[in-house]
Amino acid sequence: MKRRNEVSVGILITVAVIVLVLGTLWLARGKLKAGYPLYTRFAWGQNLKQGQPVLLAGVSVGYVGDVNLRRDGYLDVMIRIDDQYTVPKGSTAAVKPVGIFGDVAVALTPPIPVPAASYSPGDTLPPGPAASDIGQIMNHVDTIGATLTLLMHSLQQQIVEAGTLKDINRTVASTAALSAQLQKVLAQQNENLTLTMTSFRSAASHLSNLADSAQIDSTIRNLRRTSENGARLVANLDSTNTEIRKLLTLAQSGNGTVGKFLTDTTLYTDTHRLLRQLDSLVADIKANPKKYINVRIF
Amino acid sequence: MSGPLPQFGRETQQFPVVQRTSIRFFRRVTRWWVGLFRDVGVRSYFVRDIARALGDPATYVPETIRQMKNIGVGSIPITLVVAAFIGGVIALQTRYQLFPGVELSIIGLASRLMVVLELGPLLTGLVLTGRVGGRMTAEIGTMRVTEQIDALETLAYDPVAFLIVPRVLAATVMLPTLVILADATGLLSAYTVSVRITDVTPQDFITGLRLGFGTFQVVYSLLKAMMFGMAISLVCSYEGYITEAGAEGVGRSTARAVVITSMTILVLDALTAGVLGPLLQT
Repeated sequence: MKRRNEVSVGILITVAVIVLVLGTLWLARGKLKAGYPLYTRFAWGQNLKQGQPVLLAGVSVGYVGDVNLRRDGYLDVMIRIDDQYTVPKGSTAAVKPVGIFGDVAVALTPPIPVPAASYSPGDTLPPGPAASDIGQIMNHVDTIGATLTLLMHSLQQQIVEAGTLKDINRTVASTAALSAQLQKVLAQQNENLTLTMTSFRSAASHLSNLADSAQIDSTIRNLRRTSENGARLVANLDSTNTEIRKLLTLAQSGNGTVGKFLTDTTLYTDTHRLLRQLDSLVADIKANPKKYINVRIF
Repeated sequence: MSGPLPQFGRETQQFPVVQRTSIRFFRRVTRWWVGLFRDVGVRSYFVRDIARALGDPATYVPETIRQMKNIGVGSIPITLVVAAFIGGVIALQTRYQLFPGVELSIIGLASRLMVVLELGPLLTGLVLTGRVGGRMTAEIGTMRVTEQIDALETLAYDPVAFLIVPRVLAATVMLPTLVILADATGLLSAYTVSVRITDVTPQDFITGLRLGFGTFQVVYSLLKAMMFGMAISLVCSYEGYITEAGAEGVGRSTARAVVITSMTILVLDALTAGVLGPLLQT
């Protein structure tokens, strides 16, 4: 039992120590191997510390191994490069901000075209031009701020002090008055429109009432009946017309009494002769009444 | 070691009525201060006894190994489960609270800072207060009320060397050990949750995890764990050692030990942050 306790406690402590050492190394370096050293030198105030990444053309190839403060305004920096990477000769080193939290990295920039030769372990890289950091960005922001201040000052002079602002105020006041008048007119028009709409609605309501009444219904029924009668009348007229056409055809053909009356001239001749004889008879009667009229009373 | 506080001078009832309220008030304040100083003194004697007992390794070393197993190996499951949940929740909450435009690597950074600097040691300490501290108080308290401690003294055994020192040493060593595992588990859980459940890429998380890391952050975490381990073992052992009045006294001592230890851990945490926090910025 005692031996088992010792073994289990030993395993626990060993595992914890291994996790501690490997974890810390990995967090500090990003890997467990140390890599080969290269040296460079930067001016003070770079916010550099051990463990920060080293980037070659943007790729993480190592970490900052050591930073030594010199009294002449420079920092001696030892960087460790992974064994699998080589740094081309002529590459320069610069401190570059990473992210928005103020962390930095050492950026190595190879020359173009990239030479075949590489730095050997222990060589010193020349420092390159420093990348823009937050301080420089803030300087730009300060410049922009100063320009804005000048602009505001000019606006103050031109608009406030030269009286432009008063003119603008007057114009705004006039526009407000005009707007008020327009509002009034609009209100009046709106009232008229409302009345018109009311009348229209009332008329529509009446029409609606009429449409609903039985009168309209009966009128429409009568109209329908009249229309049917008219249709019948037209049909009768049509048939009558047909009959008349038939009669006229018969009459024109000369058959029958009416046809003969229309086409035969004998009746006319006879009638004419009869009329002439009647004329001569009347004349004779007028000349010799006693020949034809003999009146005896008792 | 403990007992009723001594009475000073005349009884309050012997004074005129108009003076009694103020006399009662000042007596109460005086008693409170006297009680406080006496507690500090008694605990100082207790610590002195522990320091003196350290010179007798033959008595405490075998028991220390057993206590290390009880405190350390026995607490691994609960510690890892708590750490895993805390790491995952930190990663999720950090991701969901981020406003658009913020780099996702901040999740790795926030997880590392919260787990390693704060929640890893603190939650491990609080969890072990309940699991280990309560057990310590109950064990020693039961031995006290059943007069086993008196029997040890009769047999010329130093009860402090035999009962207290092994627990203090075991807790002081085992808390940092458990915190290392808790930190690793918390970070692993945060990584898994971030990469599997949210849109954070492994590269984002690892970049943030390594961002601005300093070795002192780990030292800070382990230092806190050591202090918490010491606080748990000292407070809980002492509360058990002075237990009185049978089973009820054991229960009362256990409850009081857990409360005092929890408060002590929180106070120590705040003090550590105040004193050592500025060093974390280097």
